[in-house]
Amino acid sequence: MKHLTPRNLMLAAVSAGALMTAPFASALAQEAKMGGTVIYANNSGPGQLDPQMAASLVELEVIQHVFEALVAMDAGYAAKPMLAESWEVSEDGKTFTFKLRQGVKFSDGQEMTSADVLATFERYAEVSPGKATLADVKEYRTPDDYTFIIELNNLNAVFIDQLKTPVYPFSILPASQRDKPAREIDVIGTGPFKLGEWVKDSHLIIEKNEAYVPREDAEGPDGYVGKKTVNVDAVRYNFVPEGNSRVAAMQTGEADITTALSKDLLARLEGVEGVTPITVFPYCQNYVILHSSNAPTDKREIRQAIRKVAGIEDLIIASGESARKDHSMSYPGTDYHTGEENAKWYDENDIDGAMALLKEAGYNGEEIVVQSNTNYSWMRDTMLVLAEQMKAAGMTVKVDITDWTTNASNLQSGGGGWNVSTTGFCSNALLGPQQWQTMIYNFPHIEGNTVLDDAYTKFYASMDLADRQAAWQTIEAEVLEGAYMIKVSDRGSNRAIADDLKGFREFNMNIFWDVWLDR
Amino acid sequence: MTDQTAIQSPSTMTTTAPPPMPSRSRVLIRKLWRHRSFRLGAGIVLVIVVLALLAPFITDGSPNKMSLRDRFTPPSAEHPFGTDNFGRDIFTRVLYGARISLWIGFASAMLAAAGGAIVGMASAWFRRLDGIIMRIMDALLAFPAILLAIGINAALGPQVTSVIIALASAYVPRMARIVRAAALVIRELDYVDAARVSGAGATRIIFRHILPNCMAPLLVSVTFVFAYAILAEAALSFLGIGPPPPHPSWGNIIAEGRDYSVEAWWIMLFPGLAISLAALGTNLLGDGLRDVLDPRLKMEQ
Amino acid sequence: MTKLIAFRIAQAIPVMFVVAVLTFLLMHLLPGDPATIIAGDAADQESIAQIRRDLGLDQPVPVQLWLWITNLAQGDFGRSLMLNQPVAEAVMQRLPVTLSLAFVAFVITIPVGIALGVIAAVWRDTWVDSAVMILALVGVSVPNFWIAILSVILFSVTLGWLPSAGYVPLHDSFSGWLASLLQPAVVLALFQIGYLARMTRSAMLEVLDQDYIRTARAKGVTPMRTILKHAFRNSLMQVVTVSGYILSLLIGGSVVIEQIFAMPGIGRLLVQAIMARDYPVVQGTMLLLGFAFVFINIVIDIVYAWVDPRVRYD
Repeated sequence: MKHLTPRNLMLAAVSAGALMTAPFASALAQEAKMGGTVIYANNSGPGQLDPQMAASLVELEVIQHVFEALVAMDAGYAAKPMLAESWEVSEDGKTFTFKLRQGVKFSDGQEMTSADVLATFERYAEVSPGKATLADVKEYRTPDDYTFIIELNNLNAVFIDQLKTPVYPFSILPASQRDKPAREIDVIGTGPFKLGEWVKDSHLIIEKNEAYVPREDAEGPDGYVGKKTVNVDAVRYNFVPEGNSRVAAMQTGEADITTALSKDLLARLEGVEGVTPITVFPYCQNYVILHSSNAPTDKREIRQAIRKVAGIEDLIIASGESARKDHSMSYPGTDYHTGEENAKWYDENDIDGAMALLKEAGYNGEEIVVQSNTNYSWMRDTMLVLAEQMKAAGMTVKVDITDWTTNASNLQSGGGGWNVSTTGFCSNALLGPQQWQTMIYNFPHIEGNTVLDDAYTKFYASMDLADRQAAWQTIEAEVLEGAYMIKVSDRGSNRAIADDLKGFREFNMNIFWDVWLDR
Repeated sequence: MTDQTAIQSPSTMTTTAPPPMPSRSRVLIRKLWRHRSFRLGAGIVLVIVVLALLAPFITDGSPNKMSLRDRFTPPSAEHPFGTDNFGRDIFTRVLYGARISLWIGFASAMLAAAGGAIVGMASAWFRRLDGIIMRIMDALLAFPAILLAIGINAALGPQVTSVIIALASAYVPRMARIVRAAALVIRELDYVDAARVSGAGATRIIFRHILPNCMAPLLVSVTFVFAYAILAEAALSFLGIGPPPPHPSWGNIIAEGRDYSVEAWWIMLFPGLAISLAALGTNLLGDGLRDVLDPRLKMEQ
Repeated sequence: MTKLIAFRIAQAIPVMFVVAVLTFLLMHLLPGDPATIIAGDAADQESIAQIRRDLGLDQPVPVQLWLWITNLAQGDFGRSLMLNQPVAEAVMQRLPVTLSLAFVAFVITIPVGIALGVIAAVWRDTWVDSAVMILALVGVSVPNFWIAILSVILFSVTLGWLPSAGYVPLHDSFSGWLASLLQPAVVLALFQIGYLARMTRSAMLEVLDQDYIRTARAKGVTPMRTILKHAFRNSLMQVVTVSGYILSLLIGGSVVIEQIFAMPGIGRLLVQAIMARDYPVVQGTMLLLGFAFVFINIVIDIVYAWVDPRVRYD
């Protein structure tokens, strides 16, 4: 079942790159036109817009336009100040002093001060599923309106990196929202857009926030930070669940931008006049998850046997997604990307080795349950192919396709009798080891693994990047070698953009400041 | 009723010559055979059933056999209906899919008929329960069948059996109404009265007299429910709550092919045609049955 | 008449209650935890437990049922877990979409279905009859979501005549509303048109086949036109009888159509709510739909009584 995908993938990448530079470079040279509404055909809509509760992409994509945080990711996904003018870390790495920007206004006209920041952090520690980040906080101090100090009990070398998280973001809310229950805030932020009409399941409009105060010390936009300028009047997110319909909307010009297209749907837009299909990397990483507390995959050898039979190229083809092959749990070119030493557990295609391991483990045809869901076809299709690969090595496989809610609950709780499942991780790989921690333990249901525990302790206590990198290499090696998770691919995000939507910048999420409509 | 009594007394069957009059069933069969749409419908259904049964002899592959090298092959001599995104042969999948889709259609129609017969009979016989039963049936009838099926199927989990139970429950109220109406008419007929007067028990009367006479309308509606069920299975699969993949039910094949509807049109086209053809055949067959068995029966299912 | 309506409503309430309880229990039988979905992938067990507590999902099912019913008695349908808005509001926002879709489909179905049926009956046993009936059969035999996808490819993508997806509210623009509904409504109506055409034809023929009419026709006493008029009126009665059923079919069918055409209607709400285990929404929607259908049936009874003076409700 060998295949010629790498060449295909490379071609796709090259052509996307070529297409990207040409129109957008020239667009930047042109003078931006003002006004108009960008129509964005998205695959689904947010259920709520409380940043401290937001983990889904559709929620976060809106939230990043309406809210801002002290610290956020730049175009290279590194931490940069946004609402903070700057920050200082004490010698012992325990005290963080944020100088706040003055004159920043919420969309209701109120000025943002340290009281708002304090309220945000206090509320976060109570309601957010991401509150573990703040568990070690000793105290907050607000000596004046424009200074906010966080003091930790212990050294945390990556605290700032934790604050830049785009999942459960530390977006600053007005102090008036301090005691609002989870998911019930008024949507008021300091972002360049403000929330307009929102009809759930139908559409959501964000409008230009006239009160927005941009960062003047930057040249232009830089990821979620920098100087943001809004040229359009509004952006309308239309929620269109059918991929076919989203493609049709681009073909007919009803939408200016769309996302969440499979590779084949994207190909349909190839050569369509006025539309440019693109694939954005980095986006997510796909993994096969193995339940390490459920027989028979509680045996390391059996998990490893499954890893050995996993033919990555076929899994990628089956997923119908645009993906690149890479062994690491971080992205190439980033600080935590591991080298060849961690690559030997990737794409092994070794049926004989797998059979030997099974024999060693005393495997005797015990049923291995492969679970997936109908809601995400790439998960379902990846699992169907993996099941065939496992059968080829003599494993007894039961395919159990449920819906996403059941699948996700089972991944989370460990119940439902599954052994093998799959999912994609989008922010974790981008943000590094600290963001991986929960996931690494959670889905494979790892208990009492001292290799991981020790390495993580070392990681947080190391002020030096090289030491943290070494700790991460140990962690990654344990996860991959022990086959708690099997790395499948770096998955790109397939989107399409109308040619008259100018100034678009590729990023993990679609950003609408500094774009303009040439019509 | 002559032929029925004859069957019950085999001794007389063997000793006496066949009755000079052609039996009722034979007349019916002849009538059916002369009915154009019945012939056509029965023909279509028969062909599909035979193809489904003989699937392993017609194609040599398994419906789930993947060959990623051959994905999205257009229809050709080797793959008459082309292949899908896994390189699975659509022709094989449609053939095996017939087994699942027909089984779902058949089983849910039968289950609905059985349920409908029980409820309808109970309603017609126990007059005191009639009001309650029929009000409940009316309420259930008020819900669109597909919504009921979605709810029940979701609760039972993704299995072929869940789909069958869900669809059957959705159609029980319609069946019950039909059976009740027929049973109420027959109940008042003289010979049933006579049987009652002569001391026959309720069970005996129901099974001997009323049920056989409800058969005609029941049979007719079974064919229509069969057709609806095939369509409903496809709709459920499309919504992602049909029989779980990799089951090659027709609805699943379409649902899995929808992302490739333009580039690999054959994935959606052939199972869609198969569904249409099966429903068409069953509807034609039902039309014929209705015309012959029960010319008065309204189309209100 | 008022008595009848009151009686029908009184009858409906206990049945609706049973439906509500059944829906509740069915939903809670489902595996899968809505709190997991709300919390998101990156949440730990503790946060999920907290969300479960916040939403009252940690209570035993009978307690949750009791709470739901007592709230219901006060007219409170509860709050959606996923949409974070009251269930009644969620349903009311989406109702116009589904009703618009069903209404336009209904308006298409009735004249087209009846016309086809009448044509087939008038030209009975000719090629016209066969052609119309084959069309009608195809209408009731072809899966509508399949047609919908093919239709989008043809009319929206290739020809560019109609929008491919979305819904324009009536108060925004009438033409936009109609344009957004036309394609989904026609696709949705196909089955019902086929059904109605077949029914109308047989209803017409039933009258035409009656002995006295045959005699009248044979003698040439009554002009054909009068006979047809009579048959037509008779078949109209039948249409009224089945219109509730047609409407219920349309609303059921809209579940799939809304999905394909990205229309934020009741069907999509319900399917999403089931998928996400949004218990209050599923329960509330089923209940409100139940009431809606009971109401429709009552209206039909009234219309029926009004159209056919022989029917009297006392």
